[in-house]
Amino acid sequence: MGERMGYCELKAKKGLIRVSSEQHNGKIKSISITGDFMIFPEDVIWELERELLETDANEKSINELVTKHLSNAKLMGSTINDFVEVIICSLKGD
Amino acid sequence: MSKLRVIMFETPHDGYFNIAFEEALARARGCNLIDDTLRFFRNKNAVIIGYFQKAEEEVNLDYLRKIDAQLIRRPTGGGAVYHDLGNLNYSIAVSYDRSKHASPVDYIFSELIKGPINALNSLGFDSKLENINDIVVNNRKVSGTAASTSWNALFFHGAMLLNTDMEKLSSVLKVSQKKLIDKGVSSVKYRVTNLFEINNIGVENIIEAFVNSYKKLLGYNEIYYSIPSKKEIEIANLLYDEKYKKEEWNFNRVSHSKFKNLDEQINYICNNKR
Repeated sequence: MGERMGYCELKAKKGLIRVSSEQHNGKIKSISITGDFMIFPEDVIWELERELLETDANEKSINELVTKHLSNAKLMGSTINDFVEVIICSLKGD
Repeated sequence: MSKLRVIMFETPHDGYFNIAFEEALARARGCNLIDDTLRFFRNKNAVIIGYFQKAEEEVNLDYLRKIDAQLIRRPTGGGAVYHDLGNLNYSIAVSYDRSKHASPVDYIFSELIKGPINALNSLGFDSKLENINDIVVNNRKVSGTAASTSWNALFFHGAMLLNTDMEKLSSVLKVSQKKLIDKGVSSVKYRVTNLFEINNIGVENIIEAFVNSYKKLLGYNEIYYSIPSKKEIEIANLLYDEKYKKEEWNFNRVSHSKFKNLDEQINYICNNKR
């Protein structure tokens, strides 16, 4: 499977979500979620990035982890699905 | 008796301190050092990026250096903005208790955001809320806003374009093609406008309208004008030295938790009876 780097951006209803990622042998090695979106409490984004490290880079794992992690966050103008979609898109190396 | 304190405290040549003071204001309100406070300030030449943004993705750094502008990351989410003296910044920090009937974030974006809108409407502008946190007049954005509920206070702030240099603004900010397509414009300068191009009403009238708007909106009995307290300045100095003037904060997109050591020092200032 080797190494793969990816970048993807998604225009949510409000704000742009950008994701840069690196994976190795199917596991996430680094991930960065940036943009002008609004989410509360804010630091949930850094916690999500930490949680994603070493996670299997497949749709099911990402969907479960992101949904679980953001379910108590307050998103303004974006949805949990937006985050799932753009992370998966980045991991596909699009 | 509820009071609204108004401060016009600014360090236009030092945007790092101006933004450090924003966090200090929220923290000072959160630990009850101050009354609810409305602040106005300006920066001379600075780009302010959102908490989740990476400088190189949002800012034309070569142009930033060319115009010798400062780059400062703010403590709240949302997008990058260009500040010059033609831009009026406003912020309000209020007690967390205000949101007891709604979630704090909903309260901010349904109630506190009415402050600038009602102020502009009282001056004869046709101002509306658009897309959650943008304030538009005649379908052009004049103010973007952002918020935080960290630090045990409700903190809401925004930047209002009065007479900003639009060429600099559109040259220094990188705007994603996806956003421009979404807005149906070819450049950010066609999406935003200066309020004074619509009606040059005068800064002092805008400030007065803001104060009256918040007085009515939040039902304050008394308004008083003030200057920063010694403790607020102390908190701002700490945040300035340890966070806002650091490259690590402004360029590396680190989280607030990276500066956890500040919490203890700020709590000490809050609780120390001097």
